[in-house]
Amino acid sequence: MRKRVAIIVLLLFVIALIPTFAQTPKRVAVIIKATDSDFWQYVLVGATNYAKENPGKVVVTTYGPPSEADIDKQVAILEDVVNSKPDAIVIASTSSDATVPAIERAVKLGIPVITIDNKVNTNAVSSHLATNNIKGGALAADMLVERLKAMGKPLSGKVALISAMAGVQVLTDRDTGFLNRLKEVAPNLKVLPTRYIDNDIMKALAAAEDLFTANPDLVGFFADNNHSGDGVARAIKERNLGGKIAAAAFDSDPEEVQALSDGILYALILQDPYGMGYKGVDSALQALAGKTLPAYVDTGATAVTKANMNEPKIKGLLDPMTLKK
Amino acid sequence: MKAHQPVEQDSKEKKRFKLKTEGTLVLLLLVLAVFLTIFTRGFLTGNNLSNLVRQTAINGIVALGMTFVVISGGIDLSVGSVVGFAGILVALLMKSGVPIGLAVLASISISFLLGVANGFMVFDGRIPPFIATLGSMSIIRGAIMLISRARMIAGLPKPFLDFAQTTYLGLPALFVVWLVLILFTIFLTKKTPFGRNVYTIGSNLEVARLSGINIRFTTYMIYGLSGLMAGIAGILMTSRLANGIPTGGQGYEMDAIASCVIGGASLSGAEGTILGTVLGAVIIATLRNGGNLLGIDPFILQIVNGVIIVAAVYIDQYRKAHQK
Repeated sequence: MRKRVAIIVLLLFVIALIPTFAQTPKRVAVIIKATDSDFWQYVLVGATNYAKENPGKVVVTTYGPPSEADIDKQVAILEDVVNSKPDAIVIASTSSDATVPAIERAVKLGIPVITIDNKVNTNAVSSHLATNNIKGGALAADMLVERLKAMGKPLSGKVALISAMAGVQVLTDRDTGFLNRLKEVAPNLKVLPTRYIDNDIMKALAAAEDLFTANPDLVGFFADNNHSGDGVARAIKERNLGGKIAAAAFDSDPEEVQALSDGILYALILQDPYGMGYKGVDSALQALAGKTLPAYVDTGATAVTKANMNEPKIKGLLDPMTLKK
Repeated sequence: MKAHQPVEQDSKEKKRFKLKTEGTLVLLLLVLAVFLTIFTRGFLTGNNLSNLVRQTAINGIVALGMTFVVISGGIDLSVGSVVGFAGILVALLMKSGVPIGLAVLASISISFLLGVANGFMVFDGRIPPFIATLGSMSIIRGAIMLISRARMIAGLPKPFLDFAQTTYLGLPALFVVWLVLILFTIFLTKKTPFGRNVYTIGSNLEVARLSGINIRFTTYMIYGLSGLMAGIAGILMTSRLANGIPTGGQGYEMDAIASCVIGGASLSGAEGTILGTVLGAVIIATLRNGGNLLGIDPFILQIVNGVIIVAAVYIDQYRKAHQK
C-alpha cells in the first residue's frame, strides 16, 4: 500500500516535471508600426527586455515597416509572420481594419494575438493593451490650466492646438480629450482651429510662429505628439517666451526633454511604450498558458514636469533606452 | 515647337514668354499679400515677413537645385532624403568631435556626390530619372535610419545652432544663404555654358549630342547640384531645429517640384527659370503662412494648394497655345 502510494507520488512528480524539462522557449513575434521613431523603438526595448529577463521561456523576434504610412507593408509583414508559425503575435497595427483578415487567420491557426496601441476591429484578439488617449489629452488640459493658475494668469485668452496629422485615431482621441476637459475646467479659454503639420518639425515651428503673430493674446499651447511638441518648443524658445506661455505636449524625445528642463514646455504627457512591449509579451505568454485575459488593459498616461523629471521611475518613462538590457 | 526652330529664335521667344510667367506670379503674390494685409493683423509686420522668408528658405533652396533637373527634362525624387541625410550626418560628425566647418564641408560634399550618383544612374545606367531617384530616395532614407538608429541627435555645438538665429544687416541668416544661392544659380543659368547646356539637353538630347555638349559631365553636374542644394538645406534645417532629425525632409521633393512647376518650369524639359521657382516657393509658403494667420481650415488650405499648382500650369499652357 505504502509502496503503491510512493510510486504514484513519484509518478505524479515526474509528470509535473516533464513540462519544465521539455519546455522549449515560446516564439513570440512583435510587430511595430514603424521603425523610424523613438516611440516604437521603446516598445521593442520593452519586448526584448522581457525575453532577456526570462531566458529559456520566450524568444522575441521583432518586425516593422519603415514608416507609419506603410500600412500595406505592415499587412504583408504580418502575413509572412503568420506563415512562419510563431507561438504568439504581439502587434501594434497601424490600420484598424487592414490587418483583420491576417489576424483572424493567425487565431484560427492557434496563434494567439495581442494588440497594443491601436485597437483592431475584430474579436479574435486575446487582449488589447493601450494608452487611453482621451484620458491623456484630458491630463494635458489639466496641466495647462495648472500652469496658467501658477503663473497667476486669468483663465481667458486663446489656446493653440497643434496636431501631428489629421485622421489618426490616437491623435484625434488626444485632441478630443484635451478639448472636452478644457471646456469643463476653463470654459473661457478659446481654442484656435487645429493646425496639422504632417509630422514635420519645420512645419510645426512655422505654424507656432504664425499663431504667435496672429494672436497676441495666446496663453497656451497643446501639441499632440513629439514632433509637434518640438516645433512648439522651438518657437517659444526663439521668441524668449519660456515661462510666459503654458505649453503641454505628448511623448518624449531629446528636444522635448531639453525644453522641459529649460522651462519652455511645462508638462509632457507620457505613455508607456516600454510597458506596452513588456506587458504585451507577458500577455502573449499568459494567453499561451490558457489564461483568460482582460479585453482591454490601460497602460496609463503620466504627466511629467520639471519637478518630477529626475525621479528614477519617470526617467525610465522619459527615455526607455536607459532601461535597455 | 522646340525641335523645329533654330535655337536662337527659340530662346528669344521664350524670353518674352518667361517675363509674362513671372509677371503673373508677381501679380498673384501681390494679390495674396494685399488680401492677407487687409484680413490679418500680423501679415505685413517685420516679424512675420522675417518668419516667412525663414520658413521659405529651406524648401526654397531645395527647389533651386530641382529647377536644373526639371529644365534638363529629369526629376529628382531623392532630395527630401538628401535633406535628411545631410542634416543627420552633420549632427553625427559634430557629435563625434569633428570641427563644425569640416563637418559642414563633408556633409555638403557627400550630398553633392549622392546627386552625382543619381546622374551616373541616369546617364550611364540609362535608368529613367524618376526610377533612379525613387530608388535613391529609399536607399538614402534607409541609410539615415541605419546611421542614426532612427533616433534624434541632440547636444550640438552652440555656434552651429546660433547660425540659424543670427541676422546679417537685419536679414535672417537662412534668408541670406538662400539669397546668395539664388544669385549663384541665376548666374549659372544665364551666364555660363553649363546653364545653356542644361536647357539644350532638356530641349533635345540629340541636338545636344550633335552640338558637342559633354552630356555625361552636364548630367552629373545637374544632379550633383540638386544634391548639393538639398545638402545645404539639410544642414540649415539641423541648425534651425537644434537636432538631427531622422525623418527630416520627408516629402520635401514634392514642395520643390511644386515650386518649379508653379514657377513655369515644364516637366518635359527646356522650360523654367530660377526666378520663377523662387516665386513659386514664396507663393506656397505665403499660402501656408496666411492659412495659419487666418486660421483657415487646414483641409481647405490643402485643397487650395493643389488648385494653385494645377491652375498655374493651366494658365501657362493656355497662354502658350495662344502665343503660337
